[in-house]
Amino acid sequence: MTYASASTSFSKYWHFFLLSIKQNFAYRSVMFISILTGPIKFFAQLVIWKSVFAASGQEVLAGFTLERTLVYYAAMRVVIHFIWDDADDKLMHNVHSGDLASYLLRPMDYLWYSVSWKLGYRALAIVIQAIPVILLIGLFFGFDLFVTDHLPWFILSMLLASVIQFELNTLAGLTSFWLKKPRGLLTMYRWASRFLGGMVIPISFFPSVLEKVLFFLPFQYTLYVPSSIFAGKYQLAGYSMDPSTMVLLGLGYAVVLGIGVIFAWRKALDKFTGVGT
Amino acid sequence: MIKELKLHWQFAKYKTSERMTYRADFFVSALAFSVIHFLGPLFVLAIYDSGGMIPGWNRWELILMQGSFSIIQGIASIFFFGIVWNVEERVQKGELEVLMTKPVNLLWFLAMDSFDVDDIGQLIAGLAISGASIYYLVPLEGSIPLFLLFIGLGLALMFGLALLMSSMAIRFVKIGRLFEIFQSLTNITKYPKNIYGKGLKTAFSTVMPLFVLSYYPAGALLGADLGGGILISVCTLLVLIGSKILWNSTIKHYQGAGG
Repeated sequence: MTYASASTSFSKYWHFFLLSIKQNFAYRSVMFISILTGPIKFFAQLVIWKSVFAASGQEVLAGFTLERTLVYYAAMRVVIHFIWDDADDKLMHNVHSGDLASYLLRPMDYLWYSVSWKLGYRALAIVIQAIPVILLIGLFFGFDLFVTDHLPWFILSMLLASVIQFELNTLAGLTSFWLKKPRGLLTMYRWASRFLGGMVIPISFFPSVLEKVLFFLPFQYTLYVPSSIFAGKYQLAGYSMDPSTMVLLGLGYAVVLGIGVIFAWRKALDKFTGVGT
Repeated sequence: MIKELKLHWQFAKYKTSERMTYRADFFVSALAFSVIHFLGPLFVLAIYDSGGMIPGWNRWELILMQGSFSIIQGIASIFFFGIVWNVEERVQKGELEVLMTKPVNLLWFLAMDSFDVDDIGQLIAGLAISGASIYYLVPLEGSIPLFLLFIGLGLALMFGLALLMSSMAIRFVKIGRLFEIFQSLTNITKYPKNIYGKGLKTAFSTVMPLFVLSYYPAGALLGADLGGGILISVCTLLVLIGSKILWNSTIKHYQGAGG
């Protein structure tokens, strides 16, 4: 690739990035709902966990103190806005409607287009969702929740989380090429990946067998790893690791999943007829 | 009334047979909806297995609370809660006025048209979760008729909330993720009253009587303290009546949106 063609490609996807911001800004009122739901969800966790720690009389549960648990959930409320995407849903819609054909005919790569779209949408989400949520949670429950010794590693792990989430969702969405109606399957995947990623409860609370399995799966890198790094300590299945190791492992998963996506995408395109269903 | 009930049955049959065209997707979809309801009980089990607890309640009592909520949400989602999205979509497409000309009560028609067999997964999950907890809790000291009464009141509240959100969909055309706020609030009330402060306890028992969806039905079966049971029942009925008045007034003043 020459410098000129690389520059043209970059400019093309940069425009998709800007277009995504513009289009999604039109739906800002829908995005604003998170400003309410984020603090409400955090408040629910705060009440439950305060009561759990008080009743159990223990200072540490599954490697988490009450303070670390609350910081974990506060960080997670921010991470969610960085990683969220609907690549699976969009892909399913485009395959089934046959609209994918029109994307494939354009002088662009669909996967890079999806990446630029997500980056634009998430950049907007940082401004109108993540920052207000930080401010509101901070104002009501204390800004101490957003203090960490590992900020650079947290940011890196969050970027990787966003990449890994995109790759996982794209792989899930690619099932649309083989299955007639994968909506139910995708709903199930979405909930399973959130649960196994540590959205409902830190995964170190799971039974030890499941912890060991999850240690080798990529789901933890979407929520559990960045939130744990922010909360100051990563621990799972009996392993305690420093943030740099987790970021390196996350990078490895991102590369492996990326190769998987490219391979599956090529296979899927061989199958695509453009007829729709 | 007989005519409406027959029509309702026909709609349910038609919607079910339509969904059965993609049988595999239906089963996976129902399973997916049921999986969501197991997350709460798994959260409780994970806490108790790690040595944590919620004061005054054992794990199965808490899980019964979540199961009761799932039963109510399952029944509501199958039979009427879909009117919220149905109304929103029809208002946006300008189709609501067409429905108004049909020789059947508008609200009844919307409820029939919103029949969603996929949500049977939620109901089955609720029954399974409640059944499992009851298995570990027998003998229960509470009352089954009282449990059923609170399930009925829970459904009345869900219907009131569906009317409230549908009225907002008509007035504001797009309500988007408003349902998420409701979901966030109901998630809070899936846990016992005693973990909340006085203000929240009062709010969730009167202004937003969401404890009727989980704490009261489960508490009725468990023989727990149901103090405030009459007050929350009255408040639930007031929410239902208020929502119906709002719905009637909204429909009366509806001038069409569409576009």
